[in-house]
Amino acid sequence: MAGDGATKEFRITSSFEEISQLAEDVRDHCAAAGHYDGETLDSLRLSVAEALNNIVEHAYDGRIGMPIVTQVSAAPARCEVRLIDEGKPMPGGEIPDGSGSTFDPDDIENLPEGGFGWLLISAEMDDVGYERREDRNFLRLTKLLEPAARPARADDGSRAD
Amino acid sequence: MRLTHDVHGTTFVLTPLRPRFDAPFAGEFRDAVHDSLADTHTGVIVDLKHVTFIDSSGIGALVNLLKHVGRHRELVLCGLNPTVQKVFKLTRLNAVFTICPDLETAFALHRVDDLAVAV
Repeated sequence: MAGDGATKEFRITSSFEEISQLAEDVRDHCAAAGHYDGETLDSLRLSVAEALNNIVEHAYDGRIGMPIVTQVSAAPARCEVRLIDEGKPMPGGEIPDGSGSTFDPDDIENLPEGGFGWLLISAEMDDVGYERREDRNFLRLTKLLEPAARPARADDGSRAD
Repeated sequence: MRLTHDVHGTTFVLTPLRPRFDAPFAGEFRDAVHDSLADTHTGVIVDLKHVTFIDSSGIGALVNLLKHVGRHRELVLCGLNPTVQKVFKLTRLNAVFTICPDLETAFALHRVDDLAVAV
């Protein structure tokens, strides 16, 4: 059972079936923490799924059986997911800005069929960080949550009526 | 079986059964399209009512279908739940696809008189 802010670690290998299941497992773990609503849980699941897709397809060039470590910290005000792989570094050492997924909606023949992953991650997460260390990729996805509703000025000084 | 397909008149209807429309399913979806969609089908409907999650792989498979269907036939997506709709909005692909609430509305767009839907 996850306590507030306790980190759960998942270890899988790079296959589309395993990452599909892991995205659901991460959502379930965050749901069990009891802090997030359905839409937040869906945003986390999608971002993790997209990040895992990128690791399999790009960091590992589609090779199966390679290690992926996912660490999830589900605290009330902040959810952080860290993904670690031993694949190729991110091109240019930086997260893509999502501009690869722009298109002309009237030009059907040239619509992109891929490249939406980073756009979705940056739309759904509040912060995305990438670091290359010790021949490994470290990706950090952070979702900040709304503070709980506060009582309306219960402690303020007098107000004129 | 993770999807079904039916033909109603000249409308080809694909219904994914797998709740997750992601990479493990996207290949099967593309194969079903390329194996079964015929030139005689003037319209295509994809009923996503069983889908609770879609990611960029699923979106890519649907874009691939849209290109395959071409300019002279219509593709309609229906049954999108709010989670799936959000992904279309974030990618702005909601401006590209024709999206209806349900199968009945999708058929109405194609003006198919014989509405025989296996429930």
